[in-house]
Amino acid sequence: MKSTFWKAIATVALALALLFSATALGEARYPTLGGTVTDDANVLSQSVAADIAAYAEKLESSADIKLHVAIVQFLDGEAAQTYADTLFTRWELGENDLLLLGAAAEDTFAVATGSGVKAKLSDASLKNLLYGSGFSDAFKTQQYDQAFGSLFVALNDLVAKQTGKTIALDQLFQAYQSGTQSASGQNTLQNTLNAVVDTSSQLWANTIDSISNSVQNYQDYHQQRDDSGSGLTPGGWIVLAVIVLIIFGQSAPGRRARRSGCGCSPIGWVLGGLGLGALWNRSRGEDYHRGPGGFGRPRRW
Amino acid sequence: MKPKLTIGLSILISLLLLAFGLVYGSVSGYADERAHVNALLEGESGLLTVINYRASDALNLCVVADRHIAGDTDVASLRAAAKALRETEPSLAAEKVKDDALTSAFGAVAAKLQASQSFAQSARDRQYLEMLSADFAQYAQNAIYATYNKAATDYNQKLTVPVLGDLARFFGVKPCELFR
Repeated sequence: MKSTFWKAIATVALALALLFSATALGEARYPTLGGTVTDDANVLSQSVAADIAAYAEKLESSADIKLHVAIVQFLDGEAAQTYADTLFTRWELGENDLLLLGAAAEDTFAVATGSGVKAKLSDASLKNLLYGSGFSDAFKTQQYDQAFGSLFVALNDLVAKQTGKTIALDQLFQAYQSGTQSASGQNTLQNTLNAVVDTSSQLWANTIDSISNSVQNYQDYHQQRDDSGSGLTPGGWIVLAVIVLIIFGQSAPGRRARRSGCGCSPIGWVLGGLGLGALWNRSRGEDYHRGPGGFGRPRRW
Repeated sequence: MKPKLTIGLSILISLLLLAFGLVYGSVSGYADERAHVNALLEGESGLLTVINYRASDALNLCVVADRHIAGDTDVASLRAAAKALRETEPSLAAEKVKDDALTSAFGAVAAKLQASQSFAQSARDRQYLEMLSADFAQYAQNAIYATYNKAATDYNQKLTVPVLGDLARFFGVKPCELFR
């Protein structure tokens, strides 16, 4: 009975949770945190992604800034800054985190930072970095390696200027170290028009899988429910029977019958102890008031 | 001295206990079943979420369309339909109507895009249209719709069971609305 009670409480809690989750309608799809670089649009080369990861380690150890890069295909109707801020919260990033978001199919991007990063690198300086380093132009023309390579070379300069911490890039972003490159190649327009993009999205695939799991979970629950049947469990019936017997045991005839004892069998002792002898004796109109008598049997002197 | 119960009172208490058990069991049983049906509707990966993602796909298509047919009335209609679908409605029937409107608006914009010359020249955006159309259709054909409607129908059927169903309804358990 106790477990049923808690089950009911859990059911109410689940119903309330579901009620509030309904208000989440309108949320965009967000990727899960997958290391320093979460590239759901598959637009970065492995070498640039590796360089970003290596640079992030250096940046954290020298300037205490944790760098994250997220690239998705679309923003599901959200503004880039709103999406970046929400992702920052969903990933539980903190005051020393810097998140750079890019939406490949929308040609937009945004930066979200914690308070510790804002103190070191102002929002204005980061915005200048996005538009002044060649990142914006390269990103909007789908030259993502160049966009991010140029950006982090410029970011390294900015960090050195703002915090006084110099980080040696060595081989990192080597192709982009010799001055900030612009993305204004002569074939830029043609690249934009004819770029073969990877339109796969692990995020979207995961979303579909999650919905399939939801369907499967219900079907499993339904199957399990059909298998186990409904109504009281055998344990429940036993508990119910014991409660009823105890009540009868507390009745006046039951008490007397219990005091009178039982001389027949173990089952008789149990039932007699619970006072059912009273019902039996009464039904037979026997005198069970005086002296010892067996369960179900009238007293014989 | 302990109070003594008469046989009649014992029977009465037992009957009350049984009645309580019956009511409590039926209401909690229906509530439990209802919670699982609701999870299919309002859960993190439920039917309403699927509808929301269809709206997301439509808004994403608007971004692609704006590169080729910016200011087009069909694009504006699609954007409005998607935003309307994201507003929660008290009735599922109203959601269905809005979802159907979204499907029509999505098709209209896709057709108009394909007729656009600049779109025809953009391999990238053709791929994005393909991606979005596939995702949009995949959600529309998702098993969640049939599963939810069947679960809701089964639940409503159980709620018509004499005594237990009557008791549950009496104590405020309501039938589920179908998405149709």
